[in-house]
Amino acid sequence: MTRKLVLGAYGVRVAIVDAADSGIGARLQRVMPPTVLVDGADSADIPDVTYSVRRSCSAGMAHPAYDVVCGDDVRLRDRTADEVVEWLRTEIDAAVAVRSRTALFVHAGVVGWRGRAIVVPGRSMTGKSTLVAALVRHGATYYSDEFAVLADDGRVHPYARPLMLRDRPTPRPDRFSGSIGHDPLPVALIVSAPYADGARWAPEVVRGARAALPIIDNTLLARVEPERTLRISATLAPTVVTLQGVRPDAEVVAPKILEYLDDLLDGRAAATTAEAGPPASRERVQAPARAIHAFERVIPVRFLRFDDVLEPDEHARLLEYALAHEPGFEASGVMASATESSIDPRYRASGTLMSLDDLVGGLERRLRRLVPHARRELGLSWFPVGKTEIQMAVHQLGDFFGAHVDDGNEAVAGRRLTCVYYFHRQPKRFSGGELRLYDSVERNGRVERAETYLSVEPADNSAVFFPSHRFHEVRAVRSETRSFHDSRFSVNVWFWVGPEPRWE
Amino acid sequence: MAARQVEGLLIERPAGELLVLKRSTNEAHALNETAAIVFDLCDGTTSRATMVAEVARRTGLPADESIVELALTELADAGLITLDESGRPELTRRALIRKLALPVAGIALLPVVETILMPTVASGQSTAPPPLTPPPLTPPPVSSGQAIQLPRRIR
Repeated sequence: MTRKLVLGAYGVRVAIVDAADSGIGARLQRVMPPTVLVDGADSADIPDVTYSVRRSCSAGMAHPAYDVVCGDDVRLRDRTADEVVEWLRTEIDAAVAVRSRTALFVHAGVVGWRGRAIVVPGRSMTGKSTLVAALVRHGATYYSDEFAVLADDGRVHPYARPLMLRDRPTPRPDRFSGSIGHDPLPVALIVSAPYADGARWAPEVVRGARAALPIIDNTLLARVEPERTLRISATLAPTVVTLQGVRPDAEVVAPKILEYLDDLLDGRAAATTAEAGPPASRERVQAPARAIHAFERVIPVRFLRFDDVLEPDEHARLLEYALAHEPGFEASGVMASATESSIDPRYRASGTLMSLDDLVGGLERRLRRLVPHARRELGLSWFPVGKTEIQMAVHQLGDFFGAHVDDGNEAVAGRRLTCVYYFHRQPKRFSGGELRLYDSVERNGRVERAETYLSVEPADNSAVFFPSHRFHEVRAVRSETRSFHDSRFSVNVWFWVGPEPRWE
Repeated sequence: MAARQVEGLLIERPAGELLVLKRSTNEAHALNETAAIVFDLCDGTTSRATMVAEVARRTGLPADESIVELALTELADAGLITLDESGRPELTRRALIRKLALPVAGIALLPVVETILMPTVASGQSTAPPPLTPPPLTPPPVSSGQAIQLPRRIR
């Protein structure tokens, strides 16, 4: 028997047609936020999206298996009921967030406190659900762990799905005794502070227009609906306070955030950013390495990626420039010491173009503007930005660069932040060439390369920032052709620390 | 140094400051009050002396040309204005603070333009993808204390 369920939220209707009579619809309702309401299946309104769940035709499955079809596409195949429910939950979240025209969806956790909202913006895996759960355990009202739903008046509405914590072996709803909020709240506090191992809680207090930037930075449709994004962000800016930096464990910081909002509401918090202290007197947000008593400690690597960095015409000009300068690319060298540079194909095989004209300089200036943002998101201590190095690199069939750091001897010790901008011709004719970023491990006071890593695809027109002291490598490129034109190209930029400011 | 706002900006004015979106680059910029005052006067005709006087009148900062120069430099670096003269002053915030010996409250009033790149719809996942299950790796080519360096410094 086919069952149909229509869910509606914020002006978006999603239909689930259960042709397999799997009971998935009922299970789905239990994991969706209360704001996602069951709509009349008989309504004449056409759903914005329809997903059909049907029994899988594949033979040999040990358990009942299902496919999910959307339009003409089979979007999911041979999955268990649990997997289908989890996938549909994410799909419905995304459908509502992207299609809603009555509210602006921001990637953020939200809690209520004394009639005001605390918004915790951040991408996935930055610890926002963990912080939201900790705030709720300390008495805040739960609103959302995924989206801040902002109305035109700047108030935040609930999207209170069961809390999902990723530090569990299997993500599942967190049981908590807190209450769930229903009424829209004005936003009083934004906490833009991803978790960082070893961090101390010493955030910068930001007010005014700058305080609203984390909202724009995490708005799903910022590029699609810039006017609405800007208008709602501007509505928040005059009254909201943003705490910006990196944070330690959520349990440590949650009560401090609530105390800060108490002070804010009771008029005890610093009235201006200036009262929080000038930049030079601010405590560094990242603590120095711990004492040696920890025998072994893994320090996870982090990176920040920006997609669609250049406009299509700029991208085309840069690619054209690279292709036109093929003769200028020289074999890349490596440095074993501050004074010794050599070409050593055991460690590195690639080409480098050192002399670049202002076309590439424009890209460098654009990336430089993102340094404060990257520095903050990566949890790097503040440093004055000094000079910039820039080069273009090409990796062809078999080219690679073994594990290394970018600041390992005197000659380059001033590098703090590495940025790699990737570009290539379409269609892509190579594979591999991933950037592998290694975790570090501290053993008896020595920091070494760990065996765990993150792998970053060299996606066309994307830029990746990471700390220069982190171990990383370029995996070998596999190419369908030996043509230079089909290579993996990048622009490598190193941002150096400048002279320390003198506060006289 | 005649300065003019670039075309195609979306602008909102929260409490005397500015939020600006530049659609051509998908960048969002936050301008504090002083930067906003200078930006508003970038019409291609207003003189620097007028800008200096206006900044001093509305913010209480000293009537010092270098404050306006810093604002113009930051606005031009952000791509929000164009400057007629190619030889822009290389002025830093630190140098200005030293020169003016400003109190803490004054430092907060110095022009600030902060820039972010607006996210794409898909980039919600891009900051920190879930870690992969690591396969066993061969040892690095050199010991970690002697890591290989990228090659030459660029002139």
